[in-house]
Amino acid sequence: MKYNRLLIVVIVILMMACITSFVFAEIKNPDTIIYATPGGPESLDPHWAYDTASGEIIYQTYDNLINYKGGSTSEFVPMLSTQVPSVENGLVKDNGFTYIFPIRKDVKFHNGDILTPEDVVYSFKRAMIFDRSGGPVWMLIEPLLGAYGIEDVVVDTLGVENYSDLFVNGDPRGELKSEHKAAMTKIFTDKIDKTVEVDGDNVVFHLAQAYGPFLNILAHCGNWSSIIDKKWAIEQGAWDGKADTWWKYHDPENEKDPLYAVENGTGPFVVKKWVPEEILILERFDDYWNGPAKIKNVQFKYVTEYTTRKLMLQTGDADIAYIPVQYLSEVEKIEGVEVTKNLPTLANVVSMFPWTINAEGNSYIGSGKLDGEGIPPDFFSDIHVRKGFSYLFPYDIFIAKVAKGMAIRNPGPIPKGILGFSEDPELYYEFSLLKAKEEFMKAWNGELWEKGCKFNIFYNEGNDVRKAASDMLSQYAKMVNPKFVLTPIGVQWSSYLKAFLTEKLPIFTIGWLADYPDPHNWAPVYMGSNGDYSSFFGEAYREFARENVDPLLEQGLKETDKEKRAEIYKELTRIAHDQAISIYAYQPGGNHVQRTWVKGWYYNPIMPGEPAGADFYNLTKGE
Amino acid sequence: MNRILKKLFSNITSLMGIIILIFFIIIAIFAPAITPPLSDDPYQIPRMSWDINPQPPGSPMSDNMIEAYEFMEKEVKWEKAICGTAEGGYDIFYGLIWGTRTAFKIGIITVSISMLIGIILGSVSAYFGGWIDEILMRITDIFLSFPFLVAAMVLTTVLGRGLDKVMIALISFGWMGYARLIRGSILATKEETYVMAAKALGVNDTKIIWKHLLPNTIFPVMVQGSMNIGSMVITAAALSFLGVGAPVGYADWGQMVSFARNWIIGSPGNAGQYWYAVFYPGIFIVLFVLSWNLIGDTLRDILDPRLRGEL
Amino acid sequence: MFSYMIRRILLLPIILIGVTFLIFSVFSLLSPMERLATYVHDPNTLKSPQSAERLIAKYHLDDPFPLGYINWIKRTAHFDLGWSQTANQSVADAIKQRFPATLELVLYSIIPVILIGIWLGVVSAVHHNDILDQIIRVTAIIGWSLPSFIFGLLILFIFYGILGWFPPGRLSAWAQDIVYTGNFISYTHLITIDALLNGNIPIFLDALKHLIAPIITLSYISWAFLLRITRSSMLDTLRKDYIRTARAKGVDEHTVIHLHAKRNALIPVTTIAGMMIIGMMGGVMITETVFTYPGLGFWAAQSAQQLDYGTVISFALLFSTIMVIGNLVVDLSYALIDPRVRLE
Repeated sequence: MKYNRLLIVVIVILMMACITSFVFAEIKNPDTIIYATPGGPESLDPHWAYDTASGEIIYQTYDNLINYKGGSTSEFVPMLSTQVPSVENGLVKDNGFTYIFPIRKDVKFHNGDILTPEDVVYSFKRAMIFDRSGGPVWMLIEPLLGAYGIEDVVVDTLGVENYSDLFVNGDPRGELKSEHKAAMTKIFTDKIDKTVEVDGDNVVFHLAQAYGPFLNILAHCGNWSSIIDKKWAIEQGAWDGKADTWWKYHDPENEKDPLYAVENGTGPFVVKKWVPEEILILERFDDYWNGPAKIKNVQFKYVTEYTTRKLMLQTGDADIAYIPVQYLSEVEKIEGVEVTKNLPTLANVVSMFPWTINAEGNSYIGSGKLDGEGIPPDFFSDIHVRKGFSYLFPYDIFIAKVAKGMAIRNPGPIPKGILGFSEDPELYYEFSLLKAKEEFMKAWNGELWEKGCKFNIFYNEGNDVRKAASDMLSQYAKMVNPKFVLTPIGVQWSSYLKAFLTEKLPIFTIGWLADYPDPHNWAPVYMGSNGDYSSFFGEAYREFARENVDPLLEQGLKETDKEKRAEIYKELTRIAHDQAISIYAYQPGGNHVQRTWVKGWYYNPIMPGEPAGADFYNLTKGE
Repeated sequence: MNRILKKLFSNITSLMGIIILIFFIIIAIFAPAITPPLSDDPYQIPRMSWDINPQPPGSPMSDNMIEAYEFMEKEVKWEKAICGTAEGGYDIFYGLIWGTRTAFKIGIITVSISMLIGIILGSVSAYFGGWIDEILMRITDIFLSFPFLVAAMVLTTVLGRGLDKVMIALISFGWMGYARLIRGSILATKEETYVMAAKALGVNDTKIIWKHLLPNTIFPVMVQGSMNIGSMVITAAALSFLGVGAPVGYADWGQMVSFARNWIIGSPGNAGQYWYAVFYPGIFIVLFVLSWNLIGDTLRDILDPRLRGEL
Repeated sequence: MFSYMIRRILLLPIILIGVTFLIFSVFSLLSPMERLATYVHDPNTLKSPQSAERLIAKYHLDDPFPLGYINWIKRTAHFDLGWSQTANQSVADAIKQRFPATLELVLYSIIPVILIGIWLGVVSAVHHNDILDQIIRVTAIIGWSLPSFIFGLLILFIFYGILGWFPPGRLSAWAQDIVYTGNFISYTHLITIDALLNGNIPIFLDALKHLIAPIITLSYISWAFLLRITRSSMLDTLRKDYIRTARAKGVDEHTVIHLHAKRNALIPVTTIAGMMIIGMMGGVMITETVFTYPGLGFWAAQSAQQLDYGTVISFALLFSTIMVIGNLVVDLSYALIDPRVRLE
């Protein structure tokens, strides 16, 4: 019968496949290190990328002016610059308004071009022009131009309402209205052009304000400060270098960005092949100025399934893998795998109380009144309410059980490892139902205790850790007073975002990952009147912040003396504590999982991709 | 009807199905007695502890949990998790019991509503014919252009997670089969003499549809519906597995499996360490759907007119 | 028949328009801010409240329905399907990259589906109501009751977790190296075929090794279903008069079954088979997810999870278009194959 014959053929092929699996299973990759991680990069353009996966690749392939020294987040070493500017060596002048970088000679780009100071200047100017919405360049524009984005600079200087008003049909990607051409060109010549210039063999930066963390922003873990090749970039179609066309290169869509999928840096590795969300292959750049890397190939395998990554690790198909914290105990038992735990990450998770909630059509606050069936929009403006909740959260149980002991507490918005962190026990709220009860009884003149409250607390659907935190809060609230009904709800990210932007969330829990290791990247976020999160706390809070918080934030930014800065940020932490602004739930510890035959790994918390990933330039493979 | 029931009971495959189904019905009815709810929403699986790792069958509830539940004056009936806990400390046993109710809910509600929609649209279309038929059938074609799982997934992405959204998605793309079926039957019956007679006598349309056409054509549709109950439950489970169905911690078997998928391989040298996290909800899904399919398959054989003569 | 064909072909654009309209309406249920969630994964990338509005304007998320619909149709007609956040490339590129993988999987899955489903269906019908029939039927029913993802997980567990034979993914690391960077020419992007064309047997076998588990998973529900259809069609045919005549004439049973009955019984079956291949599109999402096989299905499931609305809208359109055209082809070929239809 025809079928029988076909069946036999199929079975034979199957058997052959099984056999070959044994024969070829031993193929090793002695000159390749393979890293299995879930998500892939969004873009290879250093000025576009604001996600860790892209940052990881850009880190290995592009260089910056300076680098961090080993695992330190505060000491620098020269990279493409030959010296690290400081007040002592005279390369930081004018009270921190001028920075001078002597540029290294004989550095090659991957395509053979030689690095010149022109390339450095071009890189930063192009960054500022490019400034895509939702991108990282604000970190350069803040110190160099004193604004949050180039569009803000334009809008302020030209005195229009919206950036899009300057364009025909309001389309910023279309034609500029001819009457604005001169003014727009001036934006470049008078502002952007003046921020950075070539001076012989040096590059000089002129800042718009004294900025403590400026060197952190330029250092190697910030992909936005990578140095790109001017000649090559112009050939690819990125900004042509001229003053009177710059707006055409501003904020393109990802697919129209000419540097999205190509790479030409000075770094130790070259991107050989990129299949998005599948694989990215790096090859050693033999002419690297600091000596070639020891490993020839690096492969980033993008595998979303944890079980697959684990199995790859087990069979040696992956040398390093990203393993979520709850599965670490599994992976530790595999022979030949070493796990480094509890690495201090520069991230934290915080539950926040908006002082004023937008009540319009808001079902999350129940009746909207203090009648036991809801909460009034200004519920959290009463300090006793906030303090009550701060005593209510079971910090240690959470860390022990949910974070499996791999987390620590923070007293305020600044995590451990950043200047200004405090271990002063007075600044930590303890978990105490008794104290919570006391505070709640004082809240709203005793009315809250009598009538109770009813509202929703939020977590992003799919995040089990945040769900656990919300559940805990809800449970203990009920234990303290059965009339406190906090119902946790998990919403999709889209609904969460919408509710967040419209200031409708009663309590929301969210995390922050450092852009650069400086308190200025932390305190303003959670406390400033314009903070990324705190600006959504309502007008009552913004007023409070403007008076009490913002001046300190400014001081901290401009202060150059380290000790004095630490004091200022400690003071801010004290305010955070006394005002019980938020529940600073925890700072997660990270982990690194790799095979024992990989050597040379070290930890730097600000390096993109770490602790799971690595600085591949330093790695070797062998027993 | 009696003849059919007798045949169902005598055939061994359908008998097995009936027995399994009765087992599930009993569980569903007595759920509150078997595992009394420990939170306001009985479909919220209670946690035995805050542990992230699944705990094996027989693990006790952690002390602070017991304290918390006592404080809230909830009767803790099972101090040990007899089927173990899933990731996050959720009691698997509770999930199995209340998940039975969820399964029945999903199956019966989605099938009845989509059947209703299908019958209405199909019968109107068949009876009135002409333009109405044309338009309704084109609309049916448009809805049929989506692979079922794809359509359900798209809808749940937009509507959000939650059992009610899943049911809306299943109903929205589940009615077409019934519409076509009943349309076919009515088109055939429409030409029967007794219908033409009724028309000639001036009986109004609704009465004709209701009294003459539907009773004679509805039975195969209902049979088809009962056989679809199983596949609705599977689709809902698949949606949860893909991450777009019931929310985490909800008593739904599919959701429990999606939870457990990462633990399925266990640790080396101890593969299958967390077998219980997948095995228990998995076997419940399989048995539930199997029972409906066993009954349905025999029913189909019974009702197939071409085979009727032989049985 | 001719008029039937013309009618079906003319209806095609109307159905397609209806499909696009339905898809777009579903997505209009989302407010612009919710649609923004695709582009904003972290509120900290929004430096100011205006950033949100700016982003909404940049991506045209707040266009009114008719305008949005027409723009979408226009762009789709130019194959500008937008950007896929999940794939980090344009939707068109993402489809191009993943389509061959899914095609390879589906094509290979058809073989066991048809072989096993039809073969067992025939056997079952021939041995109607005796032990063999019962066993086969029950196996099929159990197969049909086991959710595909559980079956897939089981296969993954046994054949990879315990035995280590069939790994997930599409290629092993060493094979990937050669395919992506070595002297490997991708003629068709179907790795098994390309491997043979390149004369590289190890890669051929490696690709096959990775395909086996997904094929088993993808095909098994389908063959259970096909079995039932074949069985009832075969039963039907076996009762026909001409079969009775052949038997009476003394033709041996083997010829009766395989020469006469099967050929006629398979007519409706082929069309069902055609539809099932199209129906595999839903199954593909689960199978590819379980085995992290980088095809269209996996990408679709990921984008639904990550609320990448732009991608979800595109693959909804893609899958439904394939289905509509596929159905048309199947219906028309049915009319061509079955002589009885032709005469109607």
